[in-house]
Amino acid sequence: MGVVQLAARLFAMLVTLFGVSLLVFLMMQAIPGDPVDAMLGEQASGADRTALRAALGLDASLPEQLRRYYGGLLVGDWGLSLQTQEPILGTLAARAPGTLLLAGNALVFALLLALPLGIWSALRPGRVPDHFAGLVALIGGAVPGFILGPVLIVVFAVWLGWAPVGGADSHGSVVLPALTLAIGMAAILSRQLRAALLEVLAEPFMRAARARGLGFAAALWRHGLRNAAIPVLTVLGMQLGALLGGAVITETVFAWPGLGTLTVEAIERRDYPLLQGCVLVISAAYVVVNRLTDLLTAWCDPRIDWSR
Amino acid sequence: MLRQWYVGVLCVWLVLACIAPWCMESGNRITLENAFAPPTAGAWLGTDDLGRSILLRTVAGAAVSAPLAAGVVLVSLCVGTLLGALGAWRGGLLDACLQRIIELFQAFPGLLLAIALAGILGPGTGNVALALCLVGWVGFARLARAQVASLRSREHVLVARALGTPDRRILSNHILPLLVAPLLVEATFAFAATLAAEAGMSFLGLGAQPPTAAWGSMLREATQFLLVAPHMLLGPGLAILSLVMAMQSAGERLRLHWQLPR
Repeated sequence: MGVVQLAARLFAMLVTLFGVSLLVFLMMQAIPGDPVDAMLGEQASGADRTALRAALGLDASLPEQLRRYYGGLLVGDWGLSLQTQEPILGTLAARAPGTLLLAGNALVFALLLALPLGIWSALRPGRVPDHFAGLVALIGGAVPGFILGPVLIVVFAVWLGWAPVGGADSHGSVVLPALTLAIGMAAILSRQLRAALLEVLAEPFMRAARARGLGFAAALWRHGLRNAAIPVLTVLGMQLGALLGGAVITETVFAWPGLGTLTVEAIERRDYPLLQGCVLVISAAYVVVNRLTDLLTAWCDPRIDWSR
Repeated sequence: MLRQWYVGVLCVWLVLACIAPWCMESGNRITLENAFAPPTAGAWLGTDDLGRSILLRTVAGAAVSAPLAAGVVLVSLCVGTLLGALGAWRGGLLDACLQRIIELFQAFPGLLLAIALAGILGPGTGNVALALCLVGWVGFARLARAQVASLRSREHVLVARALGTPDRRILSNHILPLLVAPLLVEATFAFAATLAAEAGMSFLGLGAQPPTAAWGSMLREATQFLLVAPHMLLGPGLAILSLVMAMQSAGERLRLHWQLPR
């Protein structure tokens, strides 16, 4: 991996981040009618309106607004939340660990589910275990978090009493929301792993490994999974990115204090500056995770052409 | 027969969606003394917090969710295909711009973008549909662009050009027919994804407003009463799940039938 190529990739990522932030800025221009009306309601006094207009910088021209937007983004001044009057960057920083904890747990659960399921079905293609894994993946991939989440709550929290219903007060709180996110992820991952493994298992180097006297498990571990990991890693990165965005609904189901619930709160309270901050942070995380996965796969797989 | 289960499911929903408009009024009828009644032989899916029949509301919801998803997919399909095909056919600056825009949209988590857009535009089915269209066209544009770019240099197209056939005729007679299969498969998956996304947005309170029965908002109501009436999940949950799974399976079947790559 050359330094030049690495720098080029990072630069491309910066360009994407710039585009994403521009789109978020433009999105805020789509507020129908007068945003001040939408935020304050129609009974607000003239003085309040003028004050809010000035505070949001809406009295300036569009290029000036854009200049202030990027100026603020770069120096870390993301403005104040309309509702709480606290700095948005601080509010986001307070909620981000919740989402990261959830995403991390979901990732671990997803791998714990997908690895056995994927390997099992690849070793017995077309047989009962494979069909079973396929059915699990079909259902797991289709069920949205706002159905799976409540079902898990009813079964594990209400009936069995194993986990809390929601919130983040105890250590077990993270299990159900993480599992909700993990099942959808595991469905796709296990199918991807199955396809990749089936391809690798048919490779001559697998037979060569066995011919050299390597046991089946050792050959599978050292040669099979290692080669199958590359396409799986790509999907994993996309999934992890989607997890950050898709967590909006799952976090809401479980009242989990993260960026997702913050986004929904911002929408409900018409706190547009806060909403803008939420979308910016989540999208930026999505871009960075996806690009880092690209880098990681390229680093793992010497066959990927870097000069492309 | 079991392999084609999704055909049956889709037919059932098609019929239910047709009779749904007649269920709307009776599905909104409030009988408080019947509130939270569990499923019985009389009322298969039980009643909700206002004593409304969940079965009737689930059927009525088909008239909200399914046409919305179909409409969004249709608009996205037309706009995306037109832009993607034009970009690939013309090339040059138009195509370069289109490609940047597609890349930019793909750098976003789509559902988050739709949720935020709908949040900005304000609650309501119209705004949800608009937000989903704004996010949805990109997939079709990308597909159409890639397909047309590879079809451009096919021999039958080159021959048509050499014979002086006007661009419009080449696009409609020689390229469009070859786009139908991949676009239809994409549309099937997009329908499943849009249906789930719309339900998710209704779940957040962005879509259809009460008392309209939409699957997402019914689930939202159900989650508020999980402790007393978990049966409220059943109707809308099974509706969304069965339709999404059936559409995905149908898409997968079509994809295999036409031997298209993933």
